[in-house]
Amino acid sequence: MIRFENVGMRYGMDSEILKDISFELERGSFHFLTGASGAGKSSLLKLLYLAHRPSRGLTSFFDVNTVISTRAALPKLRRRIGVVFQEFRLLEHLTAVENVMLPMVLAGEVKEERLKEQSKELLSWVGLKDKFEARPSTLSGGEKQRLAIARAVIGRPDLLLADEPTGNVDPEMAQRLMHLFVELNKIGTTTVIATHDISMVKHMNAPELRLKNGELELIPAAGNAANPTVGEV
Amino acid sequence: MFKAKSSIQFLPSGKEGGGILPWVIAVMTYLSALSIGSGFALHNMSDLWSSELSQSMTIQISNADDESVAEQAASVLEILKSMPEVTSAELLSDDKITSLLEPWLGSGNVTDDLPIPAMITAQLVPNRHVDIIALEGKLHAVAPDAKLDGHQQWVDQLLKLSATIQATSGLAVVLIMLTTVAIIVFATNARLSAHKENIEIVHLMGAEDSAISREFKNRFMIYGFKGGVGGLVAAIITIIVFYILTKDLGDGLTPKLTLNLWQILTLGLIPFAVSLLSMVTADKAVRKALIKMM
Ligand SMILES: Nc1ncnc2c1ncn2[C@@H]1O[C@H](COP(=O)(O)OP(=O)(O)OP(=O)(O)O)[C@@H](O)[C@H]1O
Ligand SMILES: [Mg+2]
Repeated sequence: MIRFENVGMRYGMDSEILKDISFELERGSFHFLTGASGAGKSSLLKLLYLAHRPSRGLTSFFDVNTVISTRAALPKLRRRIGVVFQEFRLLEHLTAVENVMLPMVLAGEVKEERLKEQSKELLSWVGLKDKFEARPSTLSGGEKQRLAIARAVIGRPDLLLADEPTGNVDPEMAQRLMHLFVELNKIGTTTVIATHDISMVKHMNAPELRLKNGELELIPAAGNAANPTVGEV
Repeated sequence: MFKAKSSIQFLPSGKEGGGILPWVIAVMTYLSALSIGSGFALHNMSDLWSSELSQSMTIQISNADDESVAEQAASVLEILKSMPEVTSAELLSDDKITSLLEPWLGSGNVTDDLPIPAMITAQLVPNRHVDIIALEGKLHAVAPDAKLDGHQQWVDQLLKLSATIQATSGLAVVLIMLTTVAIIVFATNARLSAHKENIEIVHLMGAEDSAISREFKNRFMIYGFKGGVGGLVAAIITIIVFYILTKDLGDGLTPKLTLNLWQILTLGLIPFAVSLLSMVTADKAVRKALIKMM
């Protein structure tokens, strides 16, 4: 569904921070993206949410070759991708509920009352029941993170990208959020989660995309069957 | 553009880059409306001048010998009356000339000693060209002291002057428009950079350029319309005040400043033109900024 071949990436005129990246994400797959701080996890995700052009190589999203496609073809692809940014990137002038509703409103959803109910339901599920009308600036780091996750998943995206989505929450909430990702993955959402949390990767028994020195290595799931819930097509 | 507005806007309703814009646009509109209005008025005035003045001519005959003057005047009148282009020709009486001179010389100062020329005025068929040079030759043959004033030169010069002034005000309007465009581009860029983050986020969520630009288009259209209406109202008040102040001034010297219906309608279109200009300019500036994003 998503295919990268010999992809390179650089910022401006700097040297490449990603070199010769090749991988494929099957529909409904679940991967962790790991690597030391500064290894380029967020940068690879930028390529995956179509925020940055690769400096070389081929990228294909939902069978659209984005290297040769026109710029006008990209918004439609982006609407199929949900992103939890490392820095959350919430809209400060909107309430929590409005932030969650926004992607759907932009996608042309007109039944706003129903959408609002769905958004509240989702926010309750991530433990923000009391924060519907709160502005992002009044939320704690973990609360912002959960809000960002709710916004990313509201539209049931085909591809979900999350950058350190459990970095700011306690282990119990981390479990709960991972459970949400797994549930979404089960209904077909292709998922990539960037993380530092090796114990979580081990626990989840999912394949790992590991970045090191600008190169990507695929480490298959350990297959210990302790948790065979993810990555099934 | 007129799609039902969602209650959720991706940009806050603040006025970044827009607070003083309607005021600036109002000033610009005021200046261009005055330029356009005075251009129109001048145009009408020129029409009036050229039609009124070119419909008449004056012949002066001056000679110390009164008898000769009278003889020459009679011949000139005869020739004029025989011409098909001339509707009427008359010799002004001394009394009439005296009364015409009085405003300049003061009553009672026009003495009999003052050499007053014979004056013949002729009314011409409207819009029919008279060959002044040929006529002059013809008149000289019978009246060597006759001086023909076809007003043509006077009219030509006035028309030239008025055309220059009209061209200048046209140029001023163009410059004002260009300045307005530049200011709108600045304001759009200010708003873009104030909300760079929000715009980037919705861009990444898959918002089309047109949807992002729509927010700006609507907003700048309103700024343009507000400023346009404000500036036009101020210009109309100025024109009316000017009209009232000049109404009672010397009638012959300052022909009435008037506008016809079409010209008034054209002025009325200014706010719409300004808001369209504002909208299109903002749209172009936003799209230019967005195209830099992947
Ligand atoms: N906008 C940018 N301009 C220039 N260089 C950048 C930019 N963003 C990141 N980099 C550089 O690219 C490299 C990879 O950064 P990236 O943010 O992708 O790492 P990361 O793996 O996500 O790290 P972390 O785990 O700390 O989030 C770093 O050396 C960083 O300095
Ligand atoms: Mg990162």
